Amino acid sequence: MRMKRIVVLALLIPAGTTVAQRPMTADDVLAIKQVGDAQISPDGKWVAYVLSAVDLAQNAVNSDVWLVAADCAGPAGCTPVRLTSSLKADGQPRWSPDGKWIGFVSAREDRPQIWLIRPNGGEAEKLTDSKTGVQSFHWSPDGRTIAFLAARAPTAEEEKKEKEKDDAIVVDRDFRMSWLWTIDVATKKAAELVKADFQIGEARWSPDGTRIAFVASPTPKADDGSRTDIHIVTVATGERRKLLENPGPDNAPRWSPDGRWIAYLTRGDTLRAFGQQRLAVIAADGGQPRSVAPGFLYQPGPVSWSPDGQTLVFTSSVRTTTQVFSVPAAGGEPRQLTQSRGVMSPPTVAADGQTVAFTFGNVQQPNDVYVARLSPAIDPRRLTNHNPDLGQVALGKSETVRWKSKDGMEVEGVLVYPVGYDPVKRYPTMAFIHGGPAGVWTESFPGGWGNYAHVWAGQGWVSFFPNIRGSSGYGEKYLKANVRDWGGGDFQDIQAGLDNLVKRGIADSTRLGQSGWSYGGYMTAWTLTQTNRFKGVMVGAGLTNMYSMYSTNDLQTTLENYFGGEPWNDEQAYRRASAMVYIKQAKTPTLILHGQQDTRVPIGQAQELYMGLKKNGVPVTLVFFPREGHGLSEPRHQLDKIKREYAFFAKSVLGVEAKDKPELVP
Amino acid sequence: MRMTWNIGAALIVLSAPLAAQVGITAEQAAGMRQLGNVRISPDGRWIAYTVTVPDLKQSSTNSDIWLVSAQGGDPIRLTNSPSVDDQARWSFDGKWIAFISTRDGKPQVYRISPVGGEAEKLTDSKSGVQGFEWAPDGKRLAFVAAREPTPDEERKQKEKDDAIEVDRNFVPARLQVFDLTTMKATEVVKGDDQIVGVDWSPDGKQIAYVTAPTPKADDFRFTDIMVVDLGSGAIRKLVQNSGPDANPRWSPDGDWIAFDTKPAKAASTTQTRLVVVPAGGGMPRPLANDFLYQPGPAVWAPDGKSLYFWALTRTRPELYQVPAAGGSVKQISDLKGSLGLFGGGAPSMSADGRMIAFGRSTLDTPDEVHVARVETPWVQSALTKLHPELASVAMGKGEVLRWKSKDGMEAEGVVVYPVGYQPGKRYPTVAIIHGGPSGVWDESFPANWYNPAQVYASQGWVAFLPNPRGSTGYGEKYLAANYRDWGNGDYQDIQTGLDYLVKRGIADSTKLAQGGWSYGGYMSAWTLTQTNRFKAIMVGAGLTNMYSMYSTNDLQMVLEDYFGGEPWNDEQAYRRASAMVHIKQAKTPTLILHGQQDTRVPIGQAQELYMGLKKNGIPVELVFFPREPHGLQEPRHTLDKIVREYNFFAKYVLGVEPKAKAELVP
Repeated sequence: MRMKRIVVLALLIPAGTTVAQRPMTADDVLAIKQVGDAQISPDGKWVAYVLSAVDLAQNAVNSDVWLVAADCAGPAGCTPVRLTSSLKADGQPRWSPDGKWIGFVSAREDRPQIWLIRPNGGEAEKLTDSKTGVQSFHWSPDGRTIAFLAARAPTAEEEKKEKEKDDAIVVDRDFRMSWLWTIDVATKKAAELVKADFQIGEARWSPDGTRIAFVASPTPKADDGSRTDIHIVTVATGERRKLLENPGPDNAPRWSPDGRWIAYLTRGDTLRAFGQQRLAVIAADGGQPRSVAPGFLYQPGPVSWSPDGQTLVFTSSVRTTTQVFSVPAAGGEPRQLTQSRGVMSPPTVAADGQTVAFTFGNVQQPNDVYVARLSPAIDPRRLTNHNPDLGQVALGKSETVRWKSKDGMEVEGVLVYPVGYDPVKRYPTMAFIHGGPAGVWTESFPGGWGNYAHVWAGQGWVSFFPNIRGSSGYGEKYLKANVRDWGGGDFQDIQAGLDNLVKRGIADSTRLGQSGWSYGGYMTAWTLTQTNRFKGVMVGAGLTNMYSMYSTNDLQTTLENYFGGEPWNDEQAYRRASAMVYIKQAKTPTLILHGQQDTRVPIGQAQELYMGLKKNGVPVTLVFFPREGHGLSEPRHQLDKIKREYAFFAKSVLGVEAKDKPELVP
Repeated sequence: MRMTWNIGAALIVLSAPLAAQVGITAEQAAGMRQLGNVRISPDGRWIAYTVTVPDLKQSSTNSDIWLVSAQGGDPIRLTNSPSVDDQARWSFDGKWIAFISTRDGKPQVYRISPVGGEAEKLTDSKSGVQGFEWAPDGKRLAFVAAREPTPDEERKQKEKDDAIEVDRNFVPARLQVFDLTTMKATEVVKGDDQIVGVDWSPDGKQIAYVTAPTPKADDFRFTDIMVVDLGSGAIRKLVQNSGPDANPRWSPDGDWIAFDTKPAKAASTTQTRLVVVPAGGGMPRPLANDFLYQPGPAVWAPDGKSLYFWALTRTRPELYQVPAAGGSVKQISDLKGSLGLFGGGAPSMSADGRMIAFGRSTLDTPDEVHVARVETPWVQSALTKLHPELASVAMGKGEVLRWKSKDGMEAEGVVVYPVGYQPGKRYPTVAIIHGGPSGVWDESFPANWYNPAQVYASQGWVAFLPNPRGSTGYGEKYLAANYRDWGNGDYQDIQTGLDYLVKRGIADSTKLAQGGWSYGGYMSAWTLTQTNRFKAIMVGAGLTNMYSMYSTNDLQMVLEDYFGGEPWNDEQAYRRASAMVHIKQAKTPTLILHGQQDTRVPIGQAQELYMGLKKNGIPVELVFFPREPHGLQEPRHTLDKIVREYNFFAKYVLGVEPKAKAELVP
């Protein structure tokens, strides 16, 4: 099997350009294999990573840990090996410090546990036996101990009540906090190291293995996710202290190689729930934190220390791309090490501090595994090609576009052209609005239910992905430019972007559709009440009545930050931005899609819009996806969403009646 | 703490020396056997009835069918499966009892001989039997079952390709005839009808049935009566009427059909009328035209010259007789009690029309099977002792009170006094508000999760059960008196009722609490924002924001009936009556209880109130009951509700610390 695959790979790659290419289908989107979590071995010779593939028959996604040699000769010459083969999710591969083991988390036996496997042969063995399941873990520097996080086990009383169905839920009480455990790798004995009245989210050993830095928030509630603090616990005694007092979130602690410093990401709490985190360094024993790159426009990700402790390396989302930066640990101006036109993961660094592995992809290529050396200049080398079948599929060309909004603010977005684009023709055009609002459309491969631009391209549509004010990746000022202005400037940014495409002769102004999920659904519901330029709109998990949304979702603080307070203290701020207040202006045929178990944007938001349109005689369809939360996780539902959405727009924008989903969506 | 309390209990026991136990306990209330579906045999000698036994250990219930002689004596348990056996129907010759049982999974019709032998399974419906009636010849049954899923539906279900399109793809409920000779079922009415009730013509050649356009709750105001001729299969609509037509009953000679009807417009605030129409069609003729109360489903006297029906008459149901040719209504019964909260339906009378059986309770005695001769003076006798464990329990005495509301309208309600009530002494008082708003508190035994008045009585509280304007049982004018007036007159009715209890020296004005479920929860949430006289409030499945409620619940037209239109056409009408609009005025500690799967009043209503109180610093507790719809069904949840609510009120009204469930016994 493996042998045959290599042959196919070798044949396909040179042939790719000459094979007649067909339009991309919804099934093609689901068939794309997702590559992630690339981890370089300590000696820099291997990369472990996770490959996920949809199993439509099981209606499940199967992920496995794979291994590829770092020194192999490009995708054609590399022979990645599948290391784990359970039908359940295997993920989070992490090398032991001596490189002899890979620890990973697998749900193969019911609850997720840490398993260990040798990279050079042999089956995996189970390490932990957590009653509630392991969430994440970190090897101690000597490789003898692993720290892991697991929710507290139910008490005997709780178990009894659950069994007897005496199970009333008291909201905001009796949290099942996640706590810090350690396990001895040799004896498999686990012990709770930190159990306290908070929720632990990340743990990192100090280089000498005597302490662990961890991140904790007051409760597991999503709204408390922006109230994190960093604590240090001494492993031998269990003594712990808070590293620093800061009302805003503190995250991603990383020890300097000498164990004297901790680099971390932090933010004040002027707007607690959102805003760019800044990079800071603090003495591991506490003291005054020092901002490392105060003038940096973008938001740094978690850092890696250079072996000499002089330099910090991190990635940032820069407009529609990801770039790698380095900055002196003592502070200074970050230096951009890459000029990438795509999206990469934070590189993992080998013991030499030079060899790194990461995943990279762009609009034309799904993520694959790459290695590089950090200096003198990053020289990425691709190791895998996990989607060779894409060679048979025609992809749309893409570019980034910029335009001026109504108030003069510059806005950027990504455009994917129809396959075989003809500059003299105008095309039906879809505007896709991202979630967040602090999300961003990047130049990653649009290969999922949330963005499948090449399917639209194959059917002769232009796909437009505007990064309207409030998006990440454009600096703090842009990120906050929609505060108390939802449905104002952000709405204009989109409309001006479409005007620009019409003006440039690309978009057909009589054949426009708009679609979005989450905040993108909000924006689309809002748009529906503000303009009749669209022939159809899709509102996915959208916010439609900000007043009822505030109390029924799980992120009050986020809305307070955007709207300036609680709705009973400024109801007008919430009303002004609510589609429902203007519902009698709506005229556009609407498709509403919503996960039935969504707690981020509860189904009431969909029901309000549905009833408002239905009772006012506007064509509307409301579809719930059973068992789904704020995103769609089941492959059958993802497929349904793609086909249903395409069929809806084909009908409402092109006037093509859907006879049958498979016929309409190739 | 427990010690002190036990001493208190002992003192109360001493003051009530005739009873071994002072008042009913929460566990006794939640564990009480429930009586249902009382059916007298055609010869009047036997009565079949259903007893449902809650199992607090398993949090489940078991229903079985019992039989008792109309002369009294030991009842016989006729069915014995651990699943549901219910809906017993005597064959016309009295030789069989058919019933519905889930003993083999889906509900099916079984028959059993009342004189001995095991039950025999008749139907084998893939989707399960919803209801059935014997043919007069005893050789056939008419039954209703949902259309079986198509192969495509089954495949989609299996593959979890199961997106739900709201308001589409309804599964019709179809009429079938089961032949006991061939043991085969035949669909006699296909199509998209949603059949909800059937009645055979006396000659067995036709079936009248009730059909709704869809299974949606809102569409039950559009039910029509159809008649199918079993020979030809021809179907005709009995009468043209916009509103709900229901409960058809053929006259003994087959010439007439009596049924209930009302107009669709303002259906919520209009009483149903009893009419007769020639069975072949024609103009319906109203009966009991000047009758103040609402007639229940009627049965014909054997001579076809009159009809009998139950009608709630203020706080008591009574049996009435009306001439079929028209004329005055005559009250037959003198029930001195009630049919029980879940009683009602058509009278169950012997074939000669001389005997009637029913379940009856009073404010201080629980449900028992009763039999009476259909004549005045009315003599009724109890046949069963379903509650031996309560035989020696002293209950609180009940009384019906009337008072003048703020605007002069007379209001009525029930008071349940504490066990061992001493006139002149003031007691802590809980007002319990019923649902609807067109519900009512009658004189049935109040010891259940929905109305635990007797549990309060056992703990030394007065329970006040007002019937504010909008309640059923007081005529159509009173029923409609809350039109566009929710939260005003109805609210004043309750408050003036409490004023009256204070004035009479019964209620302690410093120790008041209020609670209610559904509309009763609405009223309690509203009350919370209008007065600070209460020390604690319980809002159960309550409506708190009428605007978001409108679109997210399943009864838009009911709200349109009460509020005069859709919220986008008259938002002020909905705002004026919403607790959330006035939330900053709330000061009272609040317990919010809600079924987590409630679609009548969705959880968003609870979440809005919770957040509004929490963020404004009011003590509030929100509890969700998993798996529960608009009413609580699982015994452990019903017990939890009674105890949790009592403890909450005890804490905030009496200043007494919470008690464990087992302790809530005198």
